[in-house]
Amino acid sequence: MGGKNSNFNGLLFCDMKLYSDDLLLWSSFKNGDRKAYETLLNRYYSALFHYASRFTKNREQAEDCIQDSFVYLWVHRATLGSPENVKFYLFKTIRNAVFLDIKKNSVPVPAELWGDDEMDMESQIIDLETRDYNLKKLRHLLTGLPERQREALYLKYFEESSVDEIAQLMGINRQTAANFLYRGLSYLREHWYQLPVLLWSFGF
Amino acid sequence: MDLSNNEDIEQLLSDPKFRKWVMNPTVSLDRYWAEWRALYPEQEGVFWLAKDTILALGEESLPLSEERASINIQRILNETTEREVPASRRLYWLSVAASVLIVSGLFAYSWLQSKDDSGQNSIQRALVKKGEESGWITFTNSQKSPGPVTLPDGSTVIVFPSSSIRYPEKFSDTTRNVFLSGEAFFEVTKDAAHPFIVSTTHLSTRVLGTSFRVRDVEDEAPSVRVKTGKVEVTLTETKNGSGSGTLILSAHQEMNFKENKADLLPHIVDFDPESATALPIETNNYNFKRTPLSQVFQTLRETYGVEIHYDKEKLADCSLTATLGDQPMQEKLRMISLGLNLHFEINTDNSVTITGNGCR
Repeated sequence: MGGKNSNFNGLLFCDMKLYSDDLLLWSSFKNGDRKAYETLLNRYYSALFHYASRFTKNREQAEDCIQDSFVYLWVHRATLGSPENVKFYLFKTIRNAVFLDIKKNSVPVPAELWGDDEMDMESQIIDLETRDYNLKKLRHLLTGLPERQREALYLKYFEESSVDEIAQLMGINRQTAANFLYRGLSYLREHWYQLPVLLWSFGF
Repeated sequence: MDLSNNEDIEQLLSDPKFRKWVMNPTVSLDRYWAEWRALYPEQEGVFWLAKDTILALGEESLPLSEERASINIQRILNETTEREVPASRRLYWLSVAASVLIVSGLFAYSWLQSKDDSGQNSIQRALVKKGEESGWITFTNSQKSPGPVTLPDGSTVIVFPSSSIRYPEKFSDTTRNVFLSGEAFFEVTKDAAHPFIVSTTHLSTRVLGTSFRVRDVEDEAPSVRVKTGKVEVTLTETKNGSGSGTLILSAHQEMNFKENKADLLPHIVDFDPESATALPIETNNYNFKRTPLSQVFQTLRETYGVEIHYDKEKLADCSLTATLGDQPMQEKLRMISLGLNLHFEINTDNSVTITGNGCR
């Protein structure tokens, strides 16, 4: 999947996340192909879980929503539409499911559920990270941003969604989505430089 | 610095090469971005800000281990297959209590014909009880050749024909308990804090991380054969309690009983790898030296009985130098994939799909 170089504004996917056969898989899945369904599940489960767990820190709730959505998709596969972008479609489905579930159940979430129980790739990288201070600083800064701005940033820079996709996912217009991104980044920058500045380039 | 313009940080954040470096740094990417910083020293600050932004955004989600993800995926597949799956599927998730009873009923007429023995009854009870409990998975091999199962801890079990293995979706905090009817070969993920215990009608085999074979089938004497490491075998059910006890087996040893069933004492013999009953997996040490990948896959196919799908043309130039020893199948696949930059998936029918860009 090489040859996918910088593409700053348009629809953009990371090298690792570009799957050209998504649409093919989707139509096979709609025809009842188990293998296609399974491939899509394997491909997107982790990303969907990460996205879902932005909205609920209750692990089981996030998992249940994903499970219910996928069971629904399978049962109703014949009547489903044909999205242009499968990943986006799945993200939207899961987001709706989580929001609906939160509204229905409004489970209070104890703070200790903020998963420290397992090590994931990110935290392993962070463990190895000698510039931990800067990251802590940024973590702190992020909490100062409204959740929706953080979500927009996450979708854009973590999942490489386009501004249009972000707008559709979050149910806002394009301009608002663009503003979220712009304001989010500006805020981070501004405050980043106001906090005590460490030497940038140590530990490398 | 001009704060009204986010273009510089945007460019970094939107660059797939940058994101790739943040999430999965490689030597060449390290070099690339070190050169980039040398070229644009004035962007040093923005550079680190961009990196930490990606890391911090990712951190806001809950972590998810690969094991947990695959268990959840299996659960979804299970949910959707129960209604529609063709009867010929090899994987039976949580078979209904009735079919579990039939299995345990078959094995109840076993070795010592002591139908009324309490040990068997308790196993039978356990099966019925677990069948009602959620969270347990039963795999029954109805094929004619041995087939692999990957457990939640990554261990591999090669289940023999007409044998079944039952294990929890998630192991408990203290031990890793599995139940076997029939015969299977185990490659156990090393985890000294969580002993791995295989229970059969007559035996309980306890290990910390090793590879071995357990056999406890109808009308025959049970046996345990160790490939690597050490295992502790306890006889859980014998006639009149005689011959019960615990013994330790080391690598290349086998515990079995004399043909004469009157002799209830087990004995230990050295296992002969040339013996006709030896499985390929019991004798193979998985030493590869510049071995073509196709040959490596062929070895895995033969020893695990697993179907491996991959693009033969694309991966034609790949070769492997490694000693994979007694690592479970999943771990072997992971090591191969890491070394050659491949991606593998274990499908529900237990076949493996390997994808990658080749090694030219």
